[in-house]
Amino acid sequence: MSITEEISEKLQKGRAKEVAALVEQAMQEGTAASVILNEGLIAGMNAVGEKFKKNEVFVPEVLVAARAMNAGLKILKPAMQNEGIKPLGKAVICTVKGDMHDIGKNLVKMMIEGQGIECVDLGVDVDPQRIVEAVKESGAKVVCLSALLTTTMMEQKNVIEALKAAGIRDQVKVMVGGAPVTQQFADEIGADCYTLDAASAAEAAKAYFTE
Amino acid sequence: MSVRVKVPSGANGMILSEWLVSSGYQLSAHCGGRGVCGKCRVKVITGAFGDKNSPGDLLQPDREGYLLSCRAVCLCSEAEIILPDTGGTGLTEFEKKSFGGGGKGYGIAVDIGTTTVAAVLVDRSTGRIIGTQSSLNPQRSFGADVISRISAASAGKLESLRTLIVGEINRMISEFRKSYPDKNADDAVVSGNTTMLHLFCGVSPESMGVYPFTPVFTEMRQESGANFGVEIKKVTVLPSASAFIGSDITAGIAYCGLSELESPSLLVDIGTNGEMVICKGKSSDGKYYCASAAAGPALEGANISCGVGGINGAVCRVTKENGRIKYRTIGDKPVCGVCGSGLIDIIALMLDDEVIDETGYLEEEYRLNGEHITADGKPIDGEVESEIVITQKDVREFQLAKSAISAGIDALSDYAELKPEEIENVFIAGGLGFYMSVENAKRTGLIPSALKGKITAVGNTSLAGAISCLSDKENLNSVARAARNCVSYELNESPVFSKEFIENMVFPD
Repeated sequence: MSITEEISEKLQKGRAKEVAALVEQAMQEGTAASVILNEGLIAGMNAVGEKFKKNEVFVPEVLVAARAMNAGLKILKPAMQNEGIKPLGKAVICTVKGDMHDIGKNLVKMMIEGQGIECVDLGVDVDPQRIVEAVKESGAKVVCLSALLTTTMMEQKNVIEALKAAGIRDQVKVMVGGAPVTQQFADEIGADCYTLDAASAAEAAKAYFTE
Repeated sequence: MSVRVKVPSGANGMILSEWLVSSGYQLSAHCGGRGVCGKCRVKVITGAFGDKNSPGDLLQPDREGYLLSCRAVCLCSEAEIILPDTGGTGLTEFEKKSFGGGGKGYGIAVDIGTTTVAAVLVDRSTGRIIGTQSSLNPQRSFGADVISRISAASAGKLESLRTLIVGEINRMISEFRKSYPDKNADDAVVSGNTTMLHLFCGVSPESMGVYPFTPVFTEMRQESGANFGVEIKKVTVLPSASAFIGSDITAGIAYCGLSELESPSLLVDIGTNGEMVICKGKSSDGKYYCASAAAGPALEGANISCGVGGINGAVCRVTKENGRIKYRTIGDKPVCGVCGSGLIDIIALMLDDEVIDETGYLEEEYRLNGEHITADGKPIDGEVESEIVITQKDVREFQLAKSAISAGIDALSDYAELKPEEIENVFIAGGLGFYMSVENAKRTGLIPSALKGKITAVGNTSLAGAISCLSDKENLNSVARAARNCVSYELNESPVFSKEFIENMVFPD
């Protein structure tokens, strides 16, 4: 097994300390930071995402794996900067106004970051106007909106309207998700993308940056 | 005690679980009738039922004759079923201290828990406890947790929910009158979480189900019993602070005397929600910093494959001595499942024996094998192997629950500008807190290991606080003061919570 495969394996098991040590070792052996990142850390996170999609693992596994990923990234960061590795791009993510439930949003964020995309996390209960400003400031290409309640899902529409009003609707892809949200609803409010789970959301987001 | 029930032909077309509930039978449905928890099993004696998910087909009972009543459709012919044991020993224990006295006559203190209802008959002149009763909250048939009760109330079941709890309290009062005919109580003090108090008062808790989670009332209510439908002269409902901090917590703050302590203190009630309160000490700002961490019902036995509440036969303690595993059950009864305190012990044991690693990974299902012993350590004949199995999903459910609580404590300490290690007095409230091994709670990371202060399991402080209000009027003022000085902190808004929730997902080394 190559060292990057080993990093991926340990990451999937959530063994943060071992991931950090292996990343360190790989760097000393002269493996390029981009290889460690893509074939080790991101590959591992993708594998977790796949299993999560198939209900083979649950939320804690994803969190434990993300924790291991962060431990690896911390070691890798200086080398990434030296090699000039930049994130694929930026995504703004938050739960909509009135919605305080952030476990789903945090999962999506972790999975998206696992794809090498930088997340501008606005947190919970976010006003449409703040989202518009964040898009303008960061130049994000993707906006991810989470709503867990039937009472707050209509806020996703309000965000899309606000982006239109600000004249920046065409600059971003709007992704919506949350327990009550469906493909039909996403179509009705004019969102660009709906996915059922966090791993699919991350894949869809990546496609927007690489297409 | 299990009950034999005749299902009449008139129930034709109804879902069995719904018919049972509407006919006044108590049924546990942790998942609210979605067919996933398996806790509403009934045994079929005669007759048959249709399959809700496959109209026209009969629902096949399992080998032992059990089926899920939430999936069974009553047919036009009569049937007879057995409802399994729904009674149980509720958890009414608390750290005894003198309640003082000085009142007149007798009173009844009631704690309405989401799971358990407890009532105590008190001699108000001495503060002495005459009798104790507990039972499972009959509203359970509408779902195990607060959210499903709020949903049911919003869907037109408010009056049913109110009738159930008021009926249960009246039943307890009449039990006391039967057992102690010369000790007639004329006052009742009622405590509970904010949702339970709304339901008891017949006030819709709907607004607490959605942001910004506003309760209709938090203030103390003192009215004639007749206004509540309770068969007693006067009823006092203790004051709450918010949707998440009910009078169960404000009574606990007063009972534990947090404001009297010189050094910083923490009160945690471990349950489906981990309510937590930090007080920075006598000479500090006089505030109670409160938060509620959504732990999920795992620690109360729900969502755990062999999980049960604190009922007779639940494995409640597991120890290992000289390499041999020994376990105890509530009431020394034959094993029927594992409750929260037992689960904590088993997880700690699995960690120590390296059955799971620090990430919680489990190779294959773990079966609890050991010696079943009584509370005083004697072996119970013929009970050498349990049916208790812990699955990977069970471990994950536990990780979510324990991480929410420990991350909540970390985040709340940070908000109160304290380090966890500066907290010198830790009070663990709730039935689980009373029975669990503090050592194992630390081993599994349920309680942050940074909490080095003195940890006391105080038990049901909601009930204890209500009792203290009966025996001394001044205590009522203390509870009201506590309610006024609570400052709520929203953990969802805390960056510390998000970070620690992920950090604490793994087990301590």
